Amino acid sequence: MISSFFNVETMLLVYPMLLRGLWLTLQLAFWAVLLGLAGGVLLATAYSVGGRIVRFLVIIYVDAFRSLPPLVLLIFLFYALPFLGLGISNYAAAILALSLNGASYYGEIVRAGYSSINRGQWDAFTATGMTPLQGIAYVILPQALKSVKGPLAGNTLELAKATSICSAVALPEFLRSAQQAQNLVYNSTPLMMVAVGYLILLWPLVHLVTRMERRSH
Amino acid sequence: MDRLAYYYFNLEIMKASLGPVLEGLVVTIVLAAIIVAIGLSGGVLLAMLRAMVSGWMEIPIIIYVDVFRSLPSIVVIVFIYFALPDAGLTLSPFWATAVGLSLVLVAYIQEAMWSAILAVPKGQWEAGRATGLSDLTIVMNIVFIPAFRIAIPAMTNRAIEITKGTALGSVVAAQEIIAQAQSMQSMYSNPSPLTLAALLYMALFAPAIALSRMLEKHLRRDLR
Repeated sequence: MISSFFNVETMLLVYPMLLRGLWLTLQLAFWAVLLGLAGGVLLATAYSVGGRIVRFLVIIYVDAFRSLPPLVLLIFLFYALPFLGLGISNYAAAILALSLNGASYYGEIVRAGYSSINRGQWDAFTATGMTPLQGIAYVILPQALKSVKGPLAGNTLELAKATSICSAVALPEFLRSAQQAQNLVYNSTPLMMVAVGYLILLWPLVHLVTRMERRSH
Repeated sequence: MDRLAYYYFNLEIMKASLGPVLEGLVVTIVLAAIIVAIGLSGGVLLAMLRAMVSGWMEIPIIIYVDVFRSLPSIVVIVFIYFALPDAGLTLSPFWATAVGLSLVLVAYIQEAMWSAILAVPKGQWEAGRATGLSDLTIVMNIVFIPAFRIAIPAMTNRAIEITKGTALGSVVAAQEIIAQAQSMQSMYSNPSPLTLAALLYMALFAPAIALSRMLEKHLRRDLR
């Protein structure tokens, strides 16, 4: 049992491989969160200033991408787009899939944040001569984000975890690197290392999310 | 435009691959039913148990919940399928997916139900104890119903999220929708089966998401 799950020899052999995988996972998470959040803010802002058609389109986008498992989106982008001659690298497909998916969740959350802001504030910044864009950027958005920081943190955690689906399109991120290592050494130590690695990495974030969500009750 | 239609909405190929993809749909639905049943009942029971025990007895529950909230679902499934055989436990792709996602959903439902129990005013517990009721009676008869109502939106959202994870079963070759669609895609060298799969997932989950949004609105109005 120890030799298959906690094999020290294997650990010493495969850890550089896993570290490279971890580095890729961190990069994926960084871009997915950054682009996803930007997309989400854009969607929510379009919803709050747009007319009926814009609102309808935003809802369609949000619901469509929330009902599509991110893995299905990733497989579609990676395996189906090349047929149009739009082959993109698996790294680009991964970031695109995670960002499109992340934007729908962030969009829904930021939208809830916007709706928690009193409408009078919109009149207030208009009265002080700010343009709508300035008003949103300096008055509304900061308060909106603050009021939903619990769900934002929760979604960031989920998005960071979702980077692991990229293993399915042969991107050597953390999980994939362990699977490759397992094929090399024929024991389960690499998978154990990755599970423990995710725990060490994400447990603090889980705690933070729990604390923030409880406080908002 | 013709190429777009040929590659992504090729009705002939969709028709040819419909059989296997629908078989996949059945597998996805059965998986989802098992996961939701185990996840909901297990999670709610665990939260109620946590409300009744105290001190160190709570620690195993907390560790379980934190571990399965920290690990990505796909890591849990891959670990069960590829690593547990080394410990003498071999599960089929179907059951590795079902067990893995159930373990994760139990953790999330426990968390939702537990924070709802914490949100029930302390006075309710004190009133129960003052009238001489046991903790079990208080949890079952006083705290459970309001806590459950508070937790419903969070629980439905989590159930939908984790059930969407059935797609992850494809990485251990569980024959659900996307796995079937992928093999059809390579058989016909045409990605229309993938379009079909994506549409099926949307048909399956968009109503669930719309329903959960309505439920949330309805409950919020009720709680006021």
